[in-house]
Amino acid sequence: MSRTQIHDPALETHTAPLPAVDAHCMCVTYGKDTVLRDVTFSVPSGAFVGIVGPNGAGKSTLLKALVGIVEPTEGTVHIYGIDPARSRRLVGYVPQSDDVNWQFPVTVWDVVMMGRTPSLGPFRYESAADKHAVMDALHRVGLLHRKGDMIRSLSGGQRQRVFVARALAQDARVLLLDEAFSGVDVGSQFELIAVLRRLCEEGQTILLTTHDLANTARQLDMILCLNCHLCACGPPDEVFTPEVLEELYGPHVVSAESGYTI
Amino acid sequence: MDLISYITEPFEYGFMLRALGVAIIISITCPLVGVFVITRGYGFMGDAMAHSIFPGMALALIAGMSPWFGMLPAALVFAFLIGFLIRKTGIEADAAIGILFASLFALGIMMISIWGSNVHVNLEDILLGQILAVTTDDILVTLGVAVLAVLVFVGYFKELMFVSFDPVGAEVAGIRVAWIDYILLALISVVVVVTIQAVGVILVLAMLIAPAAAASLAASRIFHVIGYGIAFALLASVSGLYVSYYGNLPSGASIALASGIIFAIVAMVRRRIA
Repeated sequence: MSRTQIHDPALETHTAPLPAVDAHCMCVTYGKDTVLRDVTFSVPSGAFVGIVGPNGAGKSTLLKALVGIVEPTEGTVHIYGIDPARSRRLVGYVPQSDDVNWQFPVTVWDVVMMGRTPSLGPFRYESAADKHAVMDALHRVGLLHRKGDMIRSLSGGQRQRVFVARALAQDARVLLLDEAFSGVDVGSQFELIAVLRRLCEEGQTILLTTHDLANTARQLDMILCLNCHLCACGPPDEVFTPEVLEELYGPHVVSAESGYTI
Repeated sequence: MDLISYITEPFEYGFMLRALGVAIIISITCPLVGVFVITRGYGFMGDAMAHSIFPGMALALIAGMSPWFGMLPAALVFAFLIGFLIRKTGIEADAAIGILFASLFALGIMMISIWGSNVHVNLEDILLGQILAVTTDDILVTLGVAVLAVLVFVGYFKELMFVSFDPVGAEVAGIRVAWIDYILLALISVVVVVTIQAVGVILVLAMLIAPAAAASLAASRIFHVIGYGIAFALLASVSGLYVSYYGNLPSGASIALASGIIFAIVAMVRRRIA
């Protein structure tokens, strides 16, 4: 089964395992605005990573750079040693809910099959292998029984899981989730995290952006604290210090937060 | 006269048979693109395309050529222009398209008013359609355009679906979103061109939107929506033809009205069930 084959050809040519994501001195500027400045970090394969920071901190830009839509103006970024623009299939992307046209009449099955669309190309329709990949992906997120349902009839958390399944059907090795928990209730959040955690154990690398420092972020392996530059990077217990939080959100939030979660 | 002859009588005439041919073709193509038009909020754009094609059509008629020679190139040019406006101006696209299409439509009317009398162009036929006057050549062109549109549509269906549902995800996955959007706009515009001869410039939306909208109330999966849409469009265009024939009423308006009535009935039945 494809899920056990977590080794990429790119990996086998190297003796030391390549990091899933590797950014080195990355800068991104839009015109005169510097959105990301000198960002350096490395994510090992199989890690469950959160990206936190205030609005406008460059979280979405970082994800865009990882998927190859935005090119760094300086520095480099690699996905398993490959340039993102040429490793599109390795990276699965779960968009922000606002970017999706929920009125479009597609089923859960149709959405997951979209993961196979780019590799198929125009004038070609799905084969038995594609159907098998979709079935396997839906099974892994626990939604195979909903495959015939309309995507708009699902809850926020279930919709996110369908998009995760789409990334799996695409054979992505790195999953990026943008604001995965907005509009998802607490119970579904735990369910989604459990699904994602299991995928990490199977070898997927997951990066998600979140605003929820109190619950979500604490359950992850590694946190990137971003505010145009990388303020801190490491396990949640180590990075959530009053100094880092102040750098991220200003002094006001630190006093409020430190009282009850940090 | 018994029921059977009521049904068959109109189609003993060649002009009614040709009208039926065009009606069937547009009933297949309109819901196909109509589903994308309604779910992406492109209704205004479809209307704009129909109006923008008008000067091209007028020019061909004045030059003594078949209107197709003006309509088809105009359709593709405006599909590209509208796509460009959406991409470049963002929120003000509606205003830009509105200004563009109103001006072009006015230009078409001016052209017909100044030079139209020399070539006996009936403005009303262009605005309201004259499906009863189509020639065999018209049917062949219509069929050719429709077959090409359906082929492109079938070939790019997966991509059109992906881009319409999740444009950001599609771009990330490596799909050329801008290119697919231009294909969709080009498809809408050629379908609009083919539909114009049946219901005219003003009533194009009746066929482009109403059957697909009724279908989206009756069904949920995209293939079912398209299937129901085709059934509703066939019902509207064929019953419109009968009403037009027996009532001696304008054909375009009959078809457009039938389409609107079908939508109203489906909406009411749906309310009662739900």
